[in-house]
Amino acid sequence: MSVIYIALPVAIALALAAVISFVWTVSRGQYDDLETPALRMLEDDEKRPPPK
Amino acid sequence: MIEQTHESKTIPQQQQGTCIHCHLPVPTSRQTDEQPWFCCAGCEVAYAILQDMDACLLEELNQSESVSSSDLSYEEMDHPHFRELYAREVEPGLFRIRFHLEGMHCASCVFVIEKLPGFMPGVLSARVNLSTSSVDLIWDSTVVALSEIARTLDRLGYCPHPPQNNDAERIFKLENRKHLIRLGIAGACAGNVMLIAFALYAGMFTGMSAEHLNLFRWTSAALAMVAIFWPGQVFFKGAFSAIRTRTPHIDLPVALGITIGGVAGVINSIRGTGEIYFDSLTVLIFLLLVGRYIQFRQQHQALSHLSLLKSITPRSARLISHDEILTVPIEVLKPGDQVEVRAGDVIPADGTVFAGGSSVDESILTGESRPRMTQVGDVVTAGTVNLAAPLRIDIQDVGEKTRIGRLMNLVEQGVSSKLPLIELANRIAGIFVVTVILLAVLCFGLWWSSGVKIAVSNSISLLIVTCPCALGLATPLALAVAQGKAAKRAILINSGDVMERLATPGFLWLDKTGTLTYGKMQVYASSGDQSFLPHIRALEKQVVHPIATAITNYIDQQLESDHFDHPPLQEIDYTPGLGIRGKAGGHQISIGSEAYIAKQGGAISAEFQHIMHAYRQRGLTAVLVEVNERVVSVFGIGDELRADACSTIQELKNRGWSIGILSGDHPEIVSQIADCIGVAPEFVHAAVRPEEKLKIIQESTRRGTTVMVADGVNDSAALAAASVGIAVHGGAEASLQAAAVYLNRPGLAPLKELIDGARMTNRVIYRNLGISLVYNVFAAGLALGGMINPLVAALLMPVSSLTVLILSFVNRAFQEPAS
Repeated sequence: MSVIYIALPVAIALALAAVISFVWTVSRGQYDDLETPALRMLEDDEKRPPPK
Repeated sequence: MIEQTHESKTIPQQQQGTCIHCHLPVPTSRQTDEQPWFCCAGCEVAYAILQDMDACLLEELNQSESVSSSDLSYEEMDHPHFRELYAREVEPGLFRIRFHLEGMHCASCVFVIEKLPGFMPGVLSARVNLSTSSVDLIWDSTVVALSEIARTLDRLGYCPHPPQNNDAERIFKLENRKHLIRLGIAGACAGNVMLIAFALYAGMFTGMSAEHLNLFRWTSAALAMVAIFWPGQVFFKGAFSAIRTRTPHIDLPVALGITIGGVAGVINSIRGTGEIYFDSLTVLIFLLLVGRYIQFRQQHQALSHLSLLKSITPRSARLISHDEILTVPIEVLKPGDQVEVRAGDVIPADGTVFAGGSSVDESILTGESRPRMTQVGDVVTAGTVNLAAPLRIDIQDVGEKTRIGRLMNLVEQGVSSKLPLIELANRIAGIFVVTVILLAVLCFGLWWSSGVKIAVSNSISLLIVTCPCALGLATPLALAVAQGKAAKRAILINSGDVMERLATPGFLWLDKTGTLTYGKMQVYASSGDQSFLPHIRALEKQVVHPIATAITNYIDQQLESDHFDHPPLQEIDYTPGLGIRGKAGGHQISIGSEAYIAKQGGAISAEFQHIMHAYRQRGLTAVLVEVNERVVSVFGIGDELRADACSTIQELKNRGWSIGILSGDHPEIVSQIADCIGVAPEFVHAAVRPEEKLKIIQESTRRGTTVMVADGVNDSAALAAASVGIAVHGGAEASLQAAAVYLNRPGLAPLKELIDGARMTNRVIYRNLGISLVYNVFAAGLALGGMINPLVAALLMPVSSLTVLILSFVNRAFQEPAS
């Protein structure tokens, strides 16, 4: 049996995984706003620890 | 749909044994009892500096003086009705609201607004969306009032508005996601089918066992079926509705090609011989969907955030209830209520005045710049501005029933009643289908003698290779590129069909006030004795009237410093619409029109008569000043033509456009302006109401391309109904929403640029169509000659798409003029 019988389904499965994760990210709204997140990383996310 | 929940930022938990600043392991020697830990002295210093800066900044924001605040109290936001309408309770006491913010531009805005929870106790989270200029807030209603938050945003320079048509935005978001998912799936299928196709083409030259050949063919068939039946559905749907409505549409030839290719491919896969075209088909679907997506994005670029009516009427009203005045959201008002409108406020609803007297600026409805006197018993309408003194009003109609509400309904109707443009690509599609089918029949006939099998196979390849891929991709791309370039030149175009509509010259109607002219009463000339300026200023300060304001502004400029005397005033007598008289600093002064001065008994010398005549020639109103019964000076006041108006109009005429004027202003003023710029009297309509403007435009659209250029609310219905509505710089919100184009640069010169750019863009589209037709003719020729195989098809289609794509980018439309 040729190796292609394993390689081809594996390739298709990989593509399927990519498509599924893409659809998931789209429906989670990750592509709704392409501008702000890029700017948000300029902000410091560290805060002063709460006073004791 | 699952909404992503944005939680407020929490204090970062220090991981065990790592530095809080750089996250590297902390040496045991530095693991003190006191958190946070630092790996080194450097990190400690850097961390302290950053923290200090943060604290400083928050302090600064908290203390900052207003940048450009509107000084609104936003009290209506604390009304329970407001919360019910716009906010959502996420947890008991915690509410979420979305505000649209004015004036958001860049990273700094995101930075400042998202710092809100840092210095406003009670605000738990603030997340900005820059592309929609909105912010999602979560606040604790027990700690802070919403009006307080709104005032803070306002003070920082971002005037908040509650969202209006949430629906349109939601629909856009869902549609956008659908497009993306279709693109993703089509792309994945196309990519994998292409990979398999490489193997098949390699096998064509080097030989391949039948077993493997079948495996590959079946796999690509399966992938192609996914692409055809899932993302490809849109083309079938489009084609069906085109057949139902009997309008030509680009989807028709596309669906035909996909169907025939798919069916032939599946049959050949089953038979195990013959050509399959799955690679070309899946790439075709993908590229066309890319084109579709570009088109979708460009059409929704100017998504409106505020509904028209709400942008004109105020958000709050002062309701009179039991001798007490409450600030309430406007939605609470109902007919029969009584409200108070302070001087300077916008009237919230239609009604009758029952107490007070004032002048009302009705330019929003009539376009007339002069205010109307209002007394007890007079009817006032929503959206107009109370200028002088408080008015108390009995409400008769609210919301959509008001005159302005009905006008805005007309705008919406205007938009929907607009004749749809059958895009060039779609018009061609009809002829295309017929030609292609005829060619296929011809091909079949030519090859009949060689056997049915070959005849069928050649006809099928013809149908597939002539599929109008470039047509569906090139046009939207050319339009999107032009739109992007225009935006850089401060011409904002909200839908691609504007370019096609502007292709042929037709009627161009211009509004007068604010479009052809600067839209502001100003003193353009003055002559005579200037020593009484402080006295004139003191008197004119007593009146709220555009001419009086123009004069005081002018004097303020002339005197330059604040150190002039403020002469005491006595015996002031104001005759609305004519003039004012009184004693200022011991002098008896009268300021007013020629008629007013004549009535006072003042003699006007020949010299001043001459100057007044000269002013009138320039379209200016002369205002005379009489001191101690002698005319001493004269002001020329008016609304002057824009500097570039005449030259622009002339150039547009040269390009074959018929120019007309539609104005709500007085016929004499309008005809003067018309003479100035050279518009024929039969194309000048003065003193027209908004409804009449709409009618004139609708009639004009029946006769040809009609462009309306305007700036006011009273023009918005006409803007919406015109083939292309163009709002000029500084226009009212409603006119921006109704128009398809917004010239974000003062003056009329961008108008010329728009029309030239549209013509050039159309040329690019025609060139693209020509090139893709040449490719198709070439491909059809090959197919007729029986020289097409899947490899040739797979090469030909992307090459033709690529050519037109490059040409769409490389063109001169909306280019910066070489200086």
